[in-house]
Amino acid sequence: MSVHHTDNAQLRASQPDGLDVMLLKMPNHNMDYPHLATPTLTAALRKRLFTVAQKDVNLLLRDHLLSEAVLKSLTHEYLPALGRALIDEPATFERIRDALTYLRYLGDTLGFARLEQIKQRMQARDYDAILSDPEDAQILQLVFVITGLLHSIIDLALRHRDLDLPVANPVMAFLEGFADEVAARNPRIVAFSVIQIQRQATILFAQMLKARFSPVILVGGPDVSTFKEEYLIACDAIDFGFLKESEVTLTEFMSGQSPDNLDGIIYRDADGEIVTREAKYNRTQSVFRPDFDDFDLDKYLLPTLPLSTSRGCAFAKCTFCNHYKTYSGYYSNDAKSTVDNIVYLSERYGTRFFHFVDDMLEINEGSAIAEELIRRDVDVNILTYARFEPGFRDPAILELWSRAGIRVIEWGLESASQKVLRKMIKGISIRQVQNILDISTEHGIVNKLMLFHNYPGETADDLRETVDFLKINTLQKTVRPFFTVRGKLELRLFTPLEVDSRDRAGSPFVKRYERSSSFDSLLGYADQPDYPEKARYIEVFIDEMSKYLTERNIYSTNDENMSLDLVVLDSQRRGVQPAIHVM
Amino acid sequence: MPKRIFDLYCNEAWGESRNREVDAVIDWYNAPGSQNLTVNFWIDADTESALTVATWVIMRLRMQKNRQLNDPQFCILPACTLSESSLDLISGLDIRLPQLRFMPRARALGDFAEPFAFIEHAGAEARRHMLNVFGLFLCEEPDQQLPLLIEAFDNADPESPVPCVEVPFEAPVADAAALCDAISALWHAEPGLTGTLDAVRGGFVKRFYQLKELWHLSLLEDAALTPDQIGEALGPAPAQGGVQAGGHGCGDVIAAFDAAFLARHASAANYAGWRPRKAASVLAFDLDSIADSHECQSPVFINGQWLVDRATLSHAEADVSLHAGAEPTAAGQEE
Repeated sequence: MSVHHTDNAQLRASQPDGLDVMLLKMPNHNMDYPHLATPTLTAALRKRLFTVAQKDVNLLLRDHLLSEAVLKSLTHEYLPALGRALIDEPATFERIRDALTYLRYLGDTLGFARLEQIKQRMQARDYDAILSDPEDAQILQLVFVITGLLHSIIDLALRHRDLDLPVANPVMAFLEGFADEVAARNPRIVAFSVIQIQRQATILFAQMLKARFSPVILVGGPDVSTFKEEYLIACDAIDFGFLKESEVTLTEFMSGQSPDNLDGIIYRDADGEIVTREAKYNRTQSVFRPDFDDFDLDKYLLPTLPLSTSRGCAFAKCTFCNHYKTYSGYYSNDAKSTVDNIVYLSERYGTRFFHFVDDMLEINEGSAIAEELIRRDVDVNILTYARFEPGFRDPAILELWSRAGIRVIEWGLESASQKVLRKMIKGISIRQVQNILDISTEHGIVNKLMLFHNYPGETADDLRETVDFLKINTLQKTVRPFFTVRGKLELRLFTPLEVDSRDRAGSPFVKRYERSSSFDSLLGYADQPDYPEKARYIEVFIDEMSKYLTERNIYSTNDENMSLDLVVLDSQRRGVQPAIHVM
Repeated sequence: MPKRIFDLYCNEAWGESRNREVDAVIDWYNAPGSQNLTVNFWIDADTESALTVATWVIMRLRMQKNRQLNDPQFCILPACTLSESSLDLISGLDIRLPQLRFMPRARALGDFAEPFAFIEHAGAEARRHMLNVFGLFLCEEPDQQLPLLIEAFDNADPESPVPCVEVPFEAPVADAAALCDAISALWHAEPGLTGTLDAVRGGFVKRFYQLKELWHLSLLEDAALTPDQIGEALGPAPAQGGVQAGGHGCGDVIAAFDAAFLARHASAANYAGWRPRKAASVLAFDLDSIADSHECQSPVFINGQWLVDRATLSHAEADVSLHAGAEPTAAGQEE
């Protein structure tokens, strides 16, 4: 059943004593710590006295899969059956076989009970004990490897859900059960916040819910802001889409406002035609303090909470990026309010670990927050993103950040070739970068470099400069081992680079390949002839680094365990001797 | 059925029935649940009408498919040298994802050198036009051709792209066991064939891949692979086998081929030898992302006891293969 906008006011009055809205995040995402989207909306809606429930379905599913019984069943029943059914599709089959082989190996050598036990101790925040035991510390790493592997398994299970297998699909069985639970609570509205990797499960779950009862179904978040009406075209079960920041639009919608009077909304009109009203966001009503109250925080693997100090990007010029476009522009919370939020969240949820998820923590804003944290003597550990702004060459700045508890900075460098940086309009000098890294290291901050390769115009020599820069700094311990440089440029729709390359005459690509699906943002391009040389150089480097990490017992970090460094560094500061190391 | 391969013979006369066939394929692709469509354009002679057919079908599919679906995988399979203008035209069609595959094919009959030279030449010409080239060898006389191909693989530059090789089910096979031996040797010579399998419809080379992987799956389950299980998973004889339609009467040969695999080749050591050896750590074995993005993802190395890189995983496979009770009933002869 589709809902046209005229139904909104009636629905508002139909269940005066029921649950107004259930906010959901679907698979396929990490389970290290919660996301910010639905807690922000929850806070906005509860301020207006709506009854709200929120669930991280992705977390609950992964917690279920990461149990001894389900891992056994995946290894001995589901994956073999899935592999047999897909033996005619070698590329897919090999994903299944690799997952299965590795799970079987772990099951035989370690036992799934042991993995589940360590997972439970991580959820109980028994980190000091786990980290100080060499075997437990290794198994901790494996838990994160399995969560990485689960991306693949969940994706396969969703994609091939219609196969007639002799064993149950564990992902679908879980989702069916959860859909029953949602239906039993009978919320008036079910809303999903969606990033690209959650799209498949979101659309599927919306259909499952509509088959059970008749909620109004809304979607919002970055993927909806990018693909807009495609969601309503793809799925009749979805009634409304919300664009960009939605806390204001959603509360107005829930108050009974007609979509005709709202901005940043997509809906079907009385004739069933899809109408898109672009966002005109009122930044003064933004909510920066999330509400995690009914999240299952004790099921996340790390004690970290995310927080925004700003939205959008203060720089917003890099030619390869479109991330900042999912917001209505750049604006920040004031430093005092940010620290109020940290203190509040710290006390309410019992954590000292925070990830500032801003596109970048701008230097003045970061310094103001640091001063306020120091003034109020707040004991926290913070991971943040930052840009190599020239002001960081003043040693006092990073000294201040360090004293305030900023322990890890992920710097957006992208390339260490000055020529390539110029082409990207990064606005930074590689000489300054080295200077800033040295200062940051001196003050005890762990630096990570975000890099990628194959920007147009990057030669094999330019790439060597980047890899060598990373290698030298890794060996000198001015950056933490972290190898995103293996990632190849992804040409994304609506980035300045993509827009500029539309005109063939001015395009930096020899040839580009358009997307063929309106629901896809990735475009293709032809590599330069020297690409194999670049790939080989990176491969040799990564292999070398693999040995380096092994010899020093340094653990790998990626999106699955991004804030683990904070926990390990904190243990070290308190005198624990971790068996695994950050660098 | 989520997967379909549609063969279009571009040099054959075009009529209303072909239009209806194309429309039926589009309807199938647009139906819910369809996931994977490959359209093969077989070109035997470089004529304007053949290229017109290919262009018309590609444009029609692009325009009439559901806009949220990706384009099907288009494959151009020429058996003749194409002119510059034809290659220009094909390159002009190759402007969307997924990239079009250009697969010059040689139906080698006896002599091997000439078709090899044709594929090399056609591939080089096509690469100049920025096409994504996979050579395709159709071995219709496998007894003579497979040894030559194995020799060619043994001597090939390890950096050069691996061509597709297929032995159609309809090929004359005097001795299925000998064919199985030869294909086992082919897989040993070039495990990189794995990466080409999605580009071909199937035949004995793909069958061999499926047999070795089914055998390995059974090991992971501590069970023995039986002919019944093979039949259940792969079917005793494909209704439409080989690279082209056909396959009638080849069921006995396939059954003998399967039996020869179990009796002569199914072993842990062989299995390790048939797997690609190169450890491509850049993106090859990713545990960490199924998104359409690898941005921000650093590779994972687990140190100490539980390594996860591809090279170490092969050790894991050996461990699993040697697990107690895991030997197949028809233990293999190792090569």
